[in-house]
Amino acid sequence: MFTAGIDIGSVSTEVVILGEKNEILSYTVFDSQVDIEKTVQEAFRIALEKACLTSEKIDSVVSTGYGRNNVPFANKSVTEITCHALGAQHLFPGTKTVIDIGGQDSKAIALAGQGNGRVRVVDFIMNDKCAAGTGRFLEVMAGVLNIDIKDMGCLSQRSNREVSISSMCTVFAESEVISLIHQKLPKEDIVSGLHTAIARKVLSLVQRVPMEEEITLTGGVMKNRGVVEKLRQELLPKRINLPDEPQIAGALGAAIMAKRHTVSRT
Amino acid sequence: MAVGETDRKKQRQYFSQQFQNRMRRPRSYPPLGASQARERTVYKLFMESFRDTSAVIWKSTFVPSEIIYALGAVPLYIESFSAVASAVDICPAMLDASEKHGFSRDSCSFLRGVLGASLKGMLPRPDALVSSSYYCDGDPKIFDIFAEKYKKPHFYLQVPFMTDEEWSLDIVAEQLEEITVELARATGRVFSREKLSEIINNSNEACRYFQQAMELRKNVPSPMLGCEAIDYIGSISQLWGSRDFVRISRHLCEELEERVEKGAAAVENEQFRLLWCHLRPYYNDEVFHYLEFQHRAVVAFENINLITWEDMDPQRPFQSLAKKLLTNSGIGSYERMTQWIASLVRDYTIDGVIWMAPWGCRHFNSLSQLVKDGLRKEVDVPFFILDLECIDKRNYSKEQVRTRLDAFIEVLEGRK
Ligand SMILES: Nc1ncnc2c1ncn2[C@@H]1O[C@H](COP(=O)(O)OP(=O)(O)OP(=O)(O)O)[C@@H](O)[C@H]1O
Ligand code: SF4
Ligand SMILES: [Mg+2]
Repeated sequence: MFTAGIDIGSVSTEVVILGEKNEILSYTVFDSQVDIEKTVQEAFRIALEKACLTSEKIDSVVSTGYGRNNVPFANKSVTEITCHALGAQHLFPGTKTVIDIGGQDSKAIALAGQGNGRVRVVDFIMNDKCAAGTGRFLEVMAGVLNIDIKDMGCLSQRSNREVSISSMCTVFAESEVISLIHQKLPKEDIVSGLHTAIARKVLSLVQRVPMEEEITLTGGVMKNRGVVEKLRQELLPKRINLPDEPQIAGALGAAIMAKRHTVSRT
Repeated sequence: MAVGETDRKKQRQYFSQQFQNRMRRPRSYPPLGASQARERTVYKLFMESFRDTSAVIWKSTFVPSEIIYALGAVPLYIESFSAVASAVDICPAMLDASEKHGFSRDSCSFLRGVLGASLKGMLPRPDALVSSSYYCDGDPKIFDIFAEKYKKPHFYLQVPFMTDEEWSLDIVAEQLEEITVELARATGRVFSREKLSEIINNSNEACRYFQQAMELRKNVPSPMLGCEAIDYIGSISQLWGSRDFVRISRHLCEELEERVEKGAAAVENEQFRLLWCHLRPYYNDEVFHYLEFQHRAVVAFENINLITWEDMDPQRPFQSLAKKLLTNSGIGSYERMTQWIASLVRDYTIDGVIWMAPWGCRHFNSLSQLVKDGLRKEVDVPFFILDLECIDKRNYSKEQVRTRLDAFIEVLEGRK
């Protein structure tokens, strides 16, 4: 039995194809475009190609993320809270807490075992309306600093005198960073300061759910080594898991959900 | 609307027009007779307040309307004007006006709304104003602005935090008596104890019916939609003591009795029972409809409809009113609120609690996490803090809210 999970986030769209034994056969990561359906079609097509499958072979599809209700061929839609939980637990079975930092949302999810090897979400918290402590915040700052978001993590490793960023509002922090640039402070120190700011902001939010070990990090922002490092430091001595590809946890969870869905149907 | 501040006739016409439109709105459920009567009564009250012959007293949430009825004056729960205006969608202009006046968009929209309405000359002119230190400090401050503007006296009721102390009762009772006498002087009305006793009896009678009605909502499946029930609170604040409210409560009680007897469910195939805390978004019904009709998760009870006071003694009206005020679950320590929530969870067979944290309300937001953590020790029930805006629809994002509600419902499903 093959299933697919599709996560249409505010920034990126992922597809994961799962095989008979719940192994990941293939995955794709796309930018979320205005035309959700087109993005999904394309991401799905490529994922199938990589897995050497055709769409008829897929028994069930679950969609998740903000665009979850815009996938006409999905059998079911489930929120990214549940999907990230399932995805994280699949990758690290000991997961009790998930911290996900995406493009417009950051969230913490508390899990509990159900006794049958499955887990369920017992509590979750999401950021409120503003973009503080999300991927968008870093994207805006990367733009101001004129660097590629992908290089932020690497760059920050070179910092030896971190600059403190006091503002967490995207607009205020932007002007703060501009003034730091004018003061000719090294970019790596500014970036390192931004990572600390985002880590603290996210933790102040997520610590409102019981933070139990093990903690698994997911979402595109966890591709940024700098942010992960700061989170690790702040959460010490708690055990932290980082997936090889943190961005696909939601889609993976959706594909697992699709499997449950097919099983319950048959 | 450009009307002069004292042009009550024009204000009246304008308000009447808005109300007629509101009553003609398409509804997604047939409202109970009592609910319609409640809407008409509030409308009547507002219309009454636009009459030149009426003495109008603006009051904030916890100021007992009984003392105002006792003077034959019209009590106007003025923050509720923001809710009414939001429902008829005339609020954006009011909010703009208050922003232009220097009020931050981050502050409470109930207060911003009513301030804007006053700036735009939409409100019936007060003859006196009474505010209280509960629920919030923003209230008396904004009442001061109004007092200045309309050149009318503003009386302030200090409600102590130590609600259970004997002296708290005395302090509130004394103030209430003093304020009543002052109000009589300011409005040129006569205060009579007999009249107040009569009004107290009205409140007692209405309370018995209302409590009974809320008792009936413990029935599974629930006989009444939360979407409908939550609207009672705004009116209640200004109707306690009136004969109208006795009739409405009795009517509500009878209707719910009949529905329970017939086994009528507010939500077909009820899946979950929710407890809703705080008020609601007034600019649309989306959130409640989504929960109650899409997810079949009925809002079985709202903490704000909880009545915690016992029959009042008409012979000791001020002491009784003070007691009524101080027993309100919204007043005092967070532990008290937590205990009440825990008992509601048990009594109403609640599957999940939605704690609405309104935008800009320092008061309620400061309670959120305390109650959540406190409740965890009392009952095993999922508790979700939902950031939501009550009045200003510009701060509302349908998709964001839906994702959070969907996720919460998935949590509840996981427990089944
Ligand atoms: N290679 C990378 N290196 C560093 N950061 C990255 C990289 N790729 C993506 N990001 C960050 O991840 C963010 C997007 O995360 P993700 O793909 O999880 O968001 P999303 O799921 O679309 O959003 P949401 O869940 O909030 O709707 C971007 O805003 C960016 O900050
Ligand atoms: S919502 Fe909060 S800030 Fe606004 S009037 Fe009520 S208690 Fe005060
Ligand atoms: Mg995401």
